[in-house]
Amino acid sequence: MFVYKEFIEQIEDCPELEKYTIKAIEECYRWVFSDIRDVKNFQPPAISANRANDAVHEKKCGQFATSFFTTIVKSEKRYGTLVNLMGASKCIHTFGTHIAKGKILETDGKSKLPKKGHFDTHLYIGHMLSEKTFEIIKEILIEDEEDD
Amino acid sequence: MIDFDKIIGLNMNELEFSPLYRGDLQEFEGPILSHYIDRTQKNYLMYFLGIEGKYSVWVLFDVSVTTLFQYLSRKKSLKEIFKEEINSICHIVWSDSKGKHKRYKISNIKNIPVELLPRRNSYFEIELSNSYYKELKIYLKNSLEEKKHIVETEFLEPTLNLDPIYRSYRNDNNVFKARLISQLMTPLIKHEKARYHFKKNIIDLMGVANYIDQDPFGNLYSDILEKSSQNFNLSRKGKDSNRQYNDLVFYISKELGNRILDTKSVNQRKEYLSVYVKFVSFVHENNLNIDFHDITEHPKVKLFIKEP
Repeated sequence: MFVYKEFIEQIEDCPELEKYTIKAIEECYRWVFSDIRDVKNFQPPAISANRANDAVHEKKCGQFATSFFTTIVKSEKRYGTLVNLMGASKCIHTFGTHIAKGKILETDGKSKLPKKGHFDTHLYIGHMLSEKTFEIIKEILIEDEEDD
Repeated sequence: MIDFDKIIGLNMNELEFSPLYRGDLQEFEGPILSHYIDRTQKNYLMYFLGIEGKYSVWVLFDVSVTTLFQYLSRKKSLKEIFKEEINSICHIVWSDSKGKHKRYKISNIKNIPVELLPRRNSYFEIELSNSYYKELKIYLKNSLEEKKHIVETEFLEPTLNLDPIYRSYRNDNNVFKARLISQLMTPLIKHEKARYHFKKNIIDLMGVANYIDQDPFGNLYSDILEKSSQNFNLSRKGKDSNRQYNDLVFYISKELGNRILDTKSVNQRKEYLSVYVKFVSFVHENNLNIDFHDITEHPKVKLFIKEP
């Protein structure tokens, strides 16, 4: 049974099981906070208190999924794009400061096929994503921007 | 995180903002930059500033069609837009998780701490967008072309500028108001044969839009938009399209007329009627040769019309 069942049941066809066909992922990457045990680390956007939300996104199925990157390069590139758009301090507060590497087991949830190196996973109740399956491998470096 | 109350500004009880359309331009697991169009055809950007307790905090400000088009075309970054608008008025908006606005403050963009604003390379990123931007870009492009078309028309027909009625409607806002009310005119412009009709009719459409935007008729403006798109198909060519256009003007005059007759307040009827008379005069003065719903003979109306 999926975590956040009470929410996703209210969204039509969520999750679209024909698209969430991947059962296990051997290697993936996720932005996390400096302490791998931080409860915010694997929360989906709809649940995280750090994310902006609105009436449109509240009803999006994907907002209840936890997302990952297929490679560390993709993960860093996307973070850089978001720093340009949002500024560094907001990114740090919203998404985290480090990159963790780990795997998703069949008992953790169901994943969507990656698109541009990024994919969503709807997690099951009792999933084991934590410090046991993910480890921090890198602090995200953010270059200062000079005022102009 | 920042204390948003430190952004200098004036707390407001309500936000005078009633958008017709909205969509997200940049998002990643939630909205970051949203776009709105209000009923006067003004374009707004709403940019995520951060989280304060259970509210997300946004800055809302208006931008020109040209600027927005340049942003979506990656010719201008979001940082450049903020720099250009540095002295502009903006609203700081606190909204809850359902997007409901809870608090407002009127401020100035220069009061927003720079660390909350985008960086130098904040160009529009397709990977952070959805299909909304494509529709918006087409809409903006048409608007800009239409503006150019008006300028070209004036160049070809310089006497038009001597016409005081035309001059009073030709400012940007009215052009785009006309664009909104005549979204269904777009297919017309595409046909060479219909260009002539468009040139001729755009002037009175601008007039119609201007009167309607005074909006003593409540929801008439949005009603017309909705109903006209349902009832009129201007994608036909030649004579047919011209007839459809006439039908639309007739429909507008009928809607105006019905509201005049339906109201129970004599004063309101007087007020409504003055708008209707302006509309009818406009059609006459411009020799538009278009049928309109004539209510001047109606007993409820005759009372207010002076005999010559």
